[in-house]
Amino acid sequence: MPSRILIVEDNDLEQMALKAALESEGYLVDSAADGLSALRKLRSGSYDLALVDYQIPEVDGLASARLLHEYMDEGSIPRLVAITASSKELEARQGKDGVFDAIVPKPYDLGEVLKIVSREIKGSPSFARSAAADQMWRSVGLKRRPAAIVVPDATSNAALLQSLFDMRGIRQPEVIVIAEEAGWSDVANLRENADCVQCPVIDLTGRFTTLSDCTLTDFGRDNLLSVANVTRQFADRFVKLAPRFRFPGSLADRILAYMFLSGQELRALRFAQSQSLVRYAGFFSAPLATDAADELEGRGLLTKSFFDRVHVCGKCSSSRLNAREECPSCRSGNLRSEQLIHHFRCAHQAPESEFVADHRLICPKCRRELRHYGSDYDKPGRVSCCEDCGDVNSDPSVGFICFDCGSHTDGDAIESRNIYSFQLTSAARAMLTADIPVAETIQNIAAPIPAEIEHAIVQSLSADKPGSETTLMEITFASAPQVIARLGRSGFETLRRIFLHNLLAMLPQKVEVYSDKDRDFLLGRQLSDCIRSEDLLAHCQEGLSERLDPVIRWIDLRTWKKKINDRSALCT
Amino acid sequence: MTDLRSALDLLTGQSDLSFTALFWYTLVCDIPRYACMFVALALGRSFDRKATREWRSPIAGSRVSVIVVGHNEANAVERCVRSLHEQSLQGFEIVIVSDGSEDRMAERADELVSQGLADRSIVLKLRGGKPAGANLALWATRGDFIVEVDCDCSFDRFSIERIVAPLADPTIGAVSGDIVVRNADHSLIARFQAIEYMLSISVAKRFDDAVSLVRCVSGAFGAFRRDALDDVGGHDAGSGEDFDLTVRLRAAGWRIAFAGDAVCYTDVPETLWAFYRQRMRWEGDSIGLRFRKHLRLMLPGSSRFNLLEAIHQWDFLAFGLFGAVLLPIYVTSLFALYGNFALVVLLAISIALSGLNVIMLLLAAIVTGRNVFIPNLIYVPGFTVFNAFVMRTIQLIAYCQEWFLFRSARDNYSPPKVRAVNDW
Repeated sequence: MPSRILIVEDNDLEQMALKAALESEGYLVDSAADGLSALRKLRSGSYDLALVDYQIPEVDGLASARLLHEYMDEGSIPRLVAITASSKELEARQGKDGVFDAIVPKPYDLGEVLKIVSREIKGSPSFARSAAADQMWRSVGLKRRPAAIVVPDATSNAALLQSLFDMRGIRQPEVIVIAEEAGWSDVANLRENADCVQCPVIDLTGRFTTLSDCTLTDFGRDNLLSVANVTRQFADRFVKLAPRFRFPGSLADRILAYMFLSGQELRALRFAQSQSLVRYAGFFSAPLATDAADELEGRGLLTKSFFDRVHVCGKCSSSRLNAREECPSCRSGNLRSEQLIHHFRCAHQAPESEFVADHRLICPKCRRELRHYGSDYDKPGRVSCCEDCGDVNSDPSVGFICFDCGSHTDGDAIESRNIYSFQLTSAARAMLTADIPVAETIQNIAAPIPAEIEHAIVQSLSADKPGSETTLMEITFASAPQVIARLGRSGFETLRRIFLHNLLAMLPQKVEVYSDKDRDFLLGRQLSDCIRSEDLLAHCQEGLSERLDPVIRWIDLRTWKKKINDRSALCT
Repeated sequence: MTDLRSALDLLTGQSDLSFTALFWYTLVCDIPRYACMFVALALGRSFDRKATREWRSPIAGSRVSVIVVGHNEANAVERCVRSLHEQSLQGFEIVIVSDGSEDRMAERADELVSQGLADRSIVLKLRGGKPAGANLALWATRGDFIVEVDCDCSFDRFSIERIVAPLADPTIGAVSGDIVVRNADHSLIARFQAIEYMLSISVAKRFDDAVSLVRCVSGAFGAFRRDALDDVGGHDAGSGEDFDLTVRLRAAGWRIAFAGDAVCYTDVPETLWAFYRQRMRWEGDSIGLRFRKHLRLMLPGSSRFNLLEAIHQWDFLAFGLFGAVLLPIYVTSLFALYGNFALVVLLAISIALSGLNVIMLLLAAIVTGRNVFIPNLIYVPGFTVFNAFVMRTIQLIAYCQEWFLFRSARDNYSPPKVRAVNDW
């Protein structure tokens, strides 16, 4: 797996030179032009090494490095290599000890820089951790650490998670990890709204064992093996899934796809945190998923089996209801249950408390002492007395108080809802596996180029001239799942539109944009000349309320070109 | 025909003295009762009108509670409660006590509560008897006026309104309602009881009310002032609790009223055996309560002596007890002295009493305003014989059984645990 390097350099020329040299060595290179943006990027925690020019604007190199040490876990600070024209000056500064792992004096030799970088990266804790984690996952049968979306975002054990999963956001996510209990609602959102159907949910908390696809509360070999098996199973089945179900648009399709991938029924489970008190395995919510599954059942794609019946608040539809005994008159729950005493001799019959006097039982009517149970008196029943209104009844009423909206419903008026578990029918399985495409692997699960672009590519390639060659760029958004979880799909789409608008405004040439569900394709001439640095992309998302973290992939059009040339040759 | 003519000759040929010697029993034990009745009827209308005017005054702000205590009354309780819901007076609470029922009464009571037809039900797993059940219901209710009803009763639309109306007078502690037999058509015995209820309750209690001596607030339908019940501690243990409560209320100084237009319908025993058993209990309780538990009320010089109650008890002693005791003596002496002619004498008595009963029936129809004369007319001779000879015989047996054999101590009306400690 390539290491990620951040170049912090305000001189464009030097920045480009360093970048080219490092990229040629296979590193993933990002750049920042000043101390503040560098700090922002570094704090994301996904860099293995930072090459920091000592003299940069805003916050200088040493100050940036010291801030990093101040505010980041030691384990997650990347290796820091300073580039300075005056190493003496740096050494003279107070507090420089231990801040930088290496110093490269200017003017530098690129070969020397590469050597230092290579040495530092191999010595970096993240490299060591990555290597160890890769080794661990390989030992249980995965090719590398699974790319993960971790919820909640601000998890306290980020360093540990980074050593287990690939959290850099540069690969399509393969698993969803619940690192803390509070993350379950994010998972639910991802399941129902984002394209994460192919990701099994790994529970690190041990609180969602039934809802999750696998649990990893300790890192014993058996547990890791089980996670690896589930991840592989999802990936293997994803390949068998018909294309239209890989990025399903509707909740019904998501449910079907998930059931197929997990190989499990849509199992209803008791879940107190949810308003409906029920969730389905895979974190699907009960009222939404139930409606969708019912519709699928009507279409013969699912069968259902009864799970339970829950009571539902007529006002807010919550099932978080307190069922209680209450006074039939005033509906108060402040009841006292008492034994009745029947004094045979005078026929006085009243609650025991009326008879009790200094540990003795004295009949309030005839003042005789009750001495012998069965001869003097007996206790023929109980009554429930309301402490609020004083009413007396043998049987209190049953009523429900909604925990969510506080409304009261009588026991005989409460609505109820049947909850079912659902199973795939053979018809659904056949539909889910129809049109099996060419085999794809977990390493390349990105969707193919949409057919609608192909024609435009061919046309554009046909008109190619030297110096004005067709380029095709794919933009995906690494933070899409988190943004969707927070803002919903429409919120994400709005941000995406603004981002594209910003980007197109900064490009001088004519560009055609094709948008897929989660990807945008930019087709234009010599695009790579204009979009060289990620700063441009960063600039385009500066005004957005959420970071989209665009990831660029240049699509190699050489095979297309060759085909066109071949055809031209054939034609001539 | 010759025998009949000679018998008539013999009857009409008697001098005043010998006539008295021949019919002394009827002249002593029957005629005064009728005389009282006629006085009652003569006075009753005017009393009734006055009372009606007073009783309809509203009882503002007073709460009414109806208590229904039953044992194994699953089949009857719903009809009773539903007829309570058809009342002109609304807004009273209904409390049902299932007293150790082994049938589905407890469930039926709970269903009525859940349907909103009753306000609450109290289920006792062990039977404690009606007095204890009524005391518990009294404790559980909050009404200023308590109406006690039997499960097997149903009510006219204005019954509750009219039975509580007399309680507007703060000196009145309890009000008895009128009780009409619902199943008179089911058997001859039931028909006779219907006529008996009409004469002894609908008519006789009007007279009693006129002289402030309503003997008994029937357990089937009676209204009580809570203060009055609290004053005497509610019901006492044992059977005949309605009569006992009435006596104690009056002895405590409360007036007892009769609401003739508060009508309750009830079923009476339809077979002679069932009738016999019921009357054995009623009549036995009557003598036991009067002359054992409350004897001192009628004894001049006793600390509990109460003139009104004494009159009541002496009246019972003279007409009730002696009437029953003297009947066999009278009949035996008739046959001893006159042989078969005694039959003619008894027939003559029956004819004479039937005539009086026809007049009574007519007046009852006028007083109550109900159509009771024609439907019952042909049963009057039978009723007369039944009332004069059969009922009195049953009374005599009941008195003897109670006085000498303590029958009520074995009566299952009260559960054994209560009978075992009953000390009067």
